[in-house]
Amino acid sequence: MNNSEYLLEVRNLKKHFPIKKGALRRVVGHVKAVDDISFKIKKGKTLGLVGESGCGKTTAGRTILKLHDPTSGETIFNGENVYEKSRGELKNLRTKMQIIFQDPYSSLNPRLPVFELVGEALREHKIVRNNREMQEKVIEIITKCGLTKEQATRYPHQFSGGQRQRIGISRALALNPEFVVCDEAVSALDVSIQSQIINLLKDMQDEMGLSYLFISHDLTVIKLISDDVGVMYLGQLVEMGSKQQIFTNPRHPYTRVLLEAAPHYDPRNRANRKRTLLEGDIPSPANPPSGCRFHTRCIHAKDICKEAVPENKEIDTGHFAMCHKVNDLF
Amino acid sequence: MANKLLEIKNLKVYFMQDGMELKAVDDISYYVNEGETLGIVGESGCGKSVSSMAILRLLDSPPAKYAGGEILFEGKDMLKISNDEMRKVRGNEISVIFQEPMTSLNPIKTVGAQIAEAMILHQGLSKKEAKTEVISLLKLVRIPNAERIVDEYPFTLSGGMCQRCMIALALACKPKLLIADEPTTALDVTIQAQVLQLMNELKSSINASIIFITHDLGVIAEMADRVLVMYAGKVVEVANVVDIFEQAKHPYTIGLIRSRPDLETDTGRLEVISGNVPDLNSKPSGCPFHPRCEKAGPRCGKEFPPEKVFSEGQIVACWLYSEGGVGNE
Repeated sequence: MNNSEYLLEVRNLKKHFPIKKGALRRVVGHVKAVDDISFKIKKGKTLGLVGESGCGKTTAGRTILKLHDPTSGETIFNGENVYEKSRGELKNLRTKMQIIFQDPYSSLNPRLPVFELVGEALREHKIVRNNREMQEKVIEIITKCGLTKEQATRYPHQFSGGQRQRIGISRALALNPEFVVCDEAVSALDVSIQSQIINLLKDMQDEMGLSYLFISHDLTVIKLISDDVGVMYLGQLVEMGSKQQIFTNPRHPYTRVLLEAAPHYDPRNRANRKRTLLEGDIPSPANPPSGCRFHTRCIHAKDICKEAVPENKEIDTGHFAMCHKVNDLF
Repeated sequence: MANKLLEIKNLKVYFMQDGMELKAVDDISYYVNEGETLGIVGESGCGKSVSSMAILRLLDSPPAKYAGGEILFEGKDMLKISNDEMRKVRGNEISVIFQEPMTSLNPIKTVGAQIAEAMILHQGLSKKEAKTEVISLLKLVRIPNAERIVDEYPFTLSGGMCQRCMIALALACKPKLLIADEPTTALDVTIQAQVLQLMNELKSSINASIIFITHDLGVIAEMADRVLVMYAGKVVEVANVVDIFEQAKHPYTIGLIRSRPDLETDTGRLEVISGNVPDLNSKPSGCPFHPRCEKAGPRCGKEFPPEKVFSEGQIVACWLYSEGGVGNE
């Protein structure tokens, strides 16, 4: 066991997917989905990972759980390296590391009732000895997650999107994990349901002492749930810090742009809002720009940004940004 | 007094399913003024898309059924005109931008050919004239290398680029009314910001009216002049955009505003609307929001409330504001 304040540490993680072409499926290049990221998650806290489509946030979450094999790097969970585990050890470890998926419609087997969906893993990991124990345990967890006892015999199609996400959460929490990856867990839900699920995730965190890696493209949701925030762009963590640091003192130009681009709920002053608009689209992660990957869209870019990869500078305690101009810009 | 470009009166659109009538749009009325952006906001299944697709009769019938009401566009009832007349309106006087730019463009035609088609058909331009027009349109929506992109197929373009092409296509015949159905929902925030700004600029230059449909209150705050809030096939509140955010009256609107996460304030815990968004086939009686409403009384489950008009065009359908209130226990 480890006594440090960190539950999970990711060191220099890389995940490259090969691009294959032709009849012989020759490897002609790599999509660098996650390209050398490092971070730590404290016990009982939430790290929010935010970024746009294709930035590698989902791949990062999955590689940490070894749902993808990493290209290189380490994930240390409770002092142990996840990637050095044997199959059997990994299976045991998975009871402690769970995931909640984005789409509550396609991530639940339509042929299984809630009992099986949630109870399956309990039986598989021999946490319960018989069906009666399983039923008790399933009912305990689903009622905590806001479903009723009667709903346990129903099938996924009999539930709405928000209720399905409650099933997904019950399933992840049934094994009493310490760490949960929430991959866009509220993105597919209606606004009024989103807030219910966010509150549920927070309540469960308080009750069970969970640590979350909360992946989302939505800054407003990230701000609500996170203690620390990492901003990803094209496979790299371009800025990292406490929620306070990221939202009140963003230092990377990309973080600034993201914050300014998010719609504000202030129709009265919308005409006077200052906002930097980005030119162009996100470049392909198969062929990322040289130097700083953001330089093609950055309004502050200078020659050095095209040539040299910026180092990850610590601006303040725990506040990092990958930008050459980090001390000159804001 | 602004002129009403479009007026919808008591529109009912039902879907027939297994012998049941699903009331997707259940007796709603609203109007759009000339040059105005009307935002329609609501959650999945509230009828916001169906009500606006009905304007161009774009719903497959069956299963859809136009069960009653009028859709008056410049005085003509869109539900009564012939198919030939309707074809002259579609893409010409009224055009639509859909949510999924990737799937709503024809994959086997070049972007240029798709946009030119509308111009050739409605404005009688020659192919060559149309192409020049298309290129200037693509430049207008800020597509780089428009001369090259005009001959590209949609799959070679990114989502943001495709959506710009959709906007160019929608603007090809200088429509009087533009229906934008979740046009930025599938896009990343930085791309969304670009597209929203573009739409605002274009709107002032072509002086069109826009119906902007979205589930995102933030987008509403950026775009709309007036806002229509829908719930389960009904219009529950209409007001100008500032009033919606500052003095909403309907409990559902208030709940929506309060349950949204906000970048400026640090709330910690969100207020919620309890319960679930109802399915169309098990829609609650009376006011459909009553099972989730904290203020509901016995009257709410029996009958849908009449509209109560407040100052400056704020209209609310809720028993709280009617004589007798929600009724006694």
